[in-house]
Amino acid sequence: MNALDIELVSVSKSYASMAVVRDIDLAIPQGEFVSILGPSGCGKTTTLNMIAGFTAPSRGDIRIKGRSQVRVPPERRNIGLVFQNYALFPHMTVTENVAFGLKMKGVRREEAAATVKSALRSVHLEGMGERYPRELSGGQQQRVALARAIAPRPSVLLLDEPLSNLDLKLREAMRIELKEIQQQLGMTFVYVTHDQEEAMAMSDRVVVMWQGAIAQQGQPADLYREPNSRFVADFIGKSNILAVQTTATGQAHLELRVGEGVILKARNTEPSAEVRYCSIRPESIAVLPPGAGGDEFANRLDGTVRRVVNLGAAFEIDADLGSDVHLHVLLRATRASVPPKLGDSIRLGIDDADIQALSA
Amino acid sequence: MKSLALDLHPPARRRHPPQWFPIAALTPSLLVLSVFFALPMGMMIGMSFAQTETFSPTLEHYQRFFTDRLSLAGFCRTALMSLLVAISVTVLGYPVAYFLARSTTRWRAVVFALALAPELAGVVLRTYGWLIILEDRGFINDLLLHLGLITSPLPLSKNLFAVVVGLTHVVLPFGILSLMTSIQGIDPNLERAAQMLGASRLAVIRTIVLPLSVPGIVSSMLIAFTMSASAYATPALLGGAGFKVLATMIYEQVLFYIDWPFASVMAMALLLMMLAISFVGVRYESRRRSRASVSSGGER
Repeated sequence: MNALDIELVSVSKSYASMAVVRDIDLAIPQGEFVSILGPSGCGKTTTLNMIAGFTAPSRGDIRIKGRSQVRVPPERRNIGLVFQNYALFPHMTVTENVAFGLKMKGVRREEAAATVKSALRSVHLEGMGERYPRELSGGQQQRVALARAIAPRPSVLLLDEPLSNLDLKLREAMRIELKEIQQQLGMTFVYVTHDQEEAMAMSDRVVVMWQGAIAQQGQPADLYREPNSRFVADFIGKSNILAVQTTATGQAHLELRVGEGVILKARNTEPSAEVRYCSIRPESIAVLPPGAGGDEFANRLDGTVRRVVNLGAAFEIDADLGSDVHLHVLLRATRASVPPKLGDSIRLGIDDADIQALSA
Repeated sequence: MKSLALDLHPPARRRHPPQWFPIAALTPSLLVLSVFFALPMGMMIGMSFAQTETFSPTLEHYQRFFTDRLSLAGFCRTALMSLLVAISVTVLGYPVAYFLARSTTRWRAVVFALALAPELAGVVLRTYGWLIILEDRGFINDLLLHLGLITSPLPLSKNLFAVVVGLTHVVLPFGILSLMTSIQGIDPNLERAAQMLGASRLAVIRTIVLPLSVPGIVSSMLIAFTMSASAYATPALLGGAGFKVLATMIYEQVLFYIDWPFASVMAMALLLMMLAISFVGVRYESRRRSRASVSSGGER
C-alpha cells in the first residue's frame, strides 16, 4: 500500500455548541483521487478548510505525510487549493498568477518560467500567458486556477467544487480532463463536491458525508451497489427505498415484508442490526410479461403500470404492487423492448443480490 | 416578438411619474444651492478680478499674490500640511481599515466605534485636547521632563507638527472608511489563495491587498488632502500665530485687513489647489478603470 498523504484522526469541529464535523477518520494514500461528497451543510467544506489550515479542528489530528499539521499555518502546508470562484489575482496576468506560488517559494526565475510553461501546457492554455484573468472565459479561468495550484508541485491538491460555476457541457468535459491531469501528475486530489455524478465519474474513492460525519466511503461502484444507509442509497444515484415492516430469516434468504402480502427476498448477509429499509436500483429490476415466467429471479412481483415516462435512452415505469408499494423501474430502450402501457399488468423480476437491506 | 412570460402578464399598471417631476423634485435644493453657494462663489470669483475702487477688470490682486512671499509661503505651507496629513491618515488608517474589513469577531464593533469616535467631539474640544497634550507645559513634555529624558520642552505645539497631528485626528475616520470600503471589495479568497501558494501574511498584504486597494488609498488621500487644505480651526488653534495657511490667511484678510479682493484671490488659490489634486485623483482612477475594463470583466 502507498504511503499515506493525508490522515484525519478523529477530527471534530464545533462552533459554540454546534458540532459541524464529528469524529472523522480518513486516510488518503498518495496519488489517490478522493471525493468528499455530501449535501450542503454536511461539513465537507469545513473538513476541506481544516486540511487547508484555515480552520483549526476542535479535536483530533490532521497529518500530512505523517506529520501533524494542526499548528502549521496554511502557507507552510505545501497544499494546493482550487477555489469554487477560482480566486485568480485580477491584477496579475495568467503567467504571473501561475508563477505566484513559485515566486513565494523562491524558485529561480528561469526555472519558474519553465514550470509555468509546462503547467499552462498541461491545462491547454499555451499562449494565454499575457492575458488578464477577466479576459478569459469561465472555463479558461478554471484552468488557470488549476495550473496555478499545481505549478508549485504541492503534495496534495484540494478542489472546492471547482466545476460548479461552469455550464453542463464544459463541466462534463472538465471531469475527464481533471482526472487525466491527476493521473499524469500522480498527485493526490481531494475533491469536495455536492454533485454525486462528478464524484462517481472521477474518484478512486468517494467519502460520503452527512450531518458532519462520514456516512460511508469506498469505491464508487461499491457505494452504488452496496449503500449502507437509506441516506447513501438515496443520495448516490436513484433508488427505490422501501420501509421494511418485519423481517424473517428464511432458508437462504432474508424475507423482508414491505407491505401487505409483499415480501422481498434478499440475500442473507446476517445484518448486525434490525433491517428498517431496503433499496433497489431501478435499472436492476427486470420487466417480464404478465402472469408467468421469470423463474431465474428470486423475486417475482405482479403489479400494474401507473406511469410511463420516456427518457429517450430508457423508460421510467412506475409500477404499483398493491398495498401502497410502488417501484420505479428503468427499462432500457432497445429495438426489442416494448414499453408497457398505462394500466397494463406487468411482472417484475428482482435478483436477491439486488435488494440491499439497510438498518439506517 | 415579445417573450411569452411578458405576454402572459397584464400591462404594467404602475403609472410613470410625469416628465417634469424629476426637475420639480430638484428645484428646492437647486434654489438653496444657487442662492447660498453658486452666487457667493460667483461673487468671489468676480471680486478677485475686480479693481477695488472702480470694479474694472484687473489682474492686480493675482499679481500681488504671486509676488508676495508671505502669500506664496502660505500656499506652499497649506499644500505641505495637507500632503503630510494625507499620508499620515492613510498610513495610520490602513491597518485599522484592514482589521475592520476582515474581522468577524466582536472586537470589530468596538474598533469601529473607536475609529469613528473623533467625529463625536466638536472640533474646538478636540483641538484644545491636543493643546493640553502637546503644549510646552503639556502632558508629553511634563512627562518627559519628569523622567529626565529631556531638559527643555520639545517644540510639539504651535507648529506644523501639532497641526498635522490635530488634523490627522479629525480626518482619520474618513480615511479609514474609504480604505475599509475598498478592502471589503477584495475577495477574501484571493488572500487565502495567496496563502495556499506559500505567501506569508505580510507577503499577502504586499502582493495582493495593497495593489488591489489602490483606489481606496487614492480616495483616502484625496479626502484627507481636501479636508486639511480647507480646515480653519485646527491650524488656527494648534499652529499658533506664526503658522499661516490659506484658510487662516483668508480669515485675516477679511476680518483684519478688510481686503475682500485679496481674500478672494487666496480662496481661488485654495480652490484651484484642491481642484488640481482632485483632478489628478479622478484621472488616475478613470485610467485604472479603463485599463481594468480592457483587461478585466469577470463575474464578481
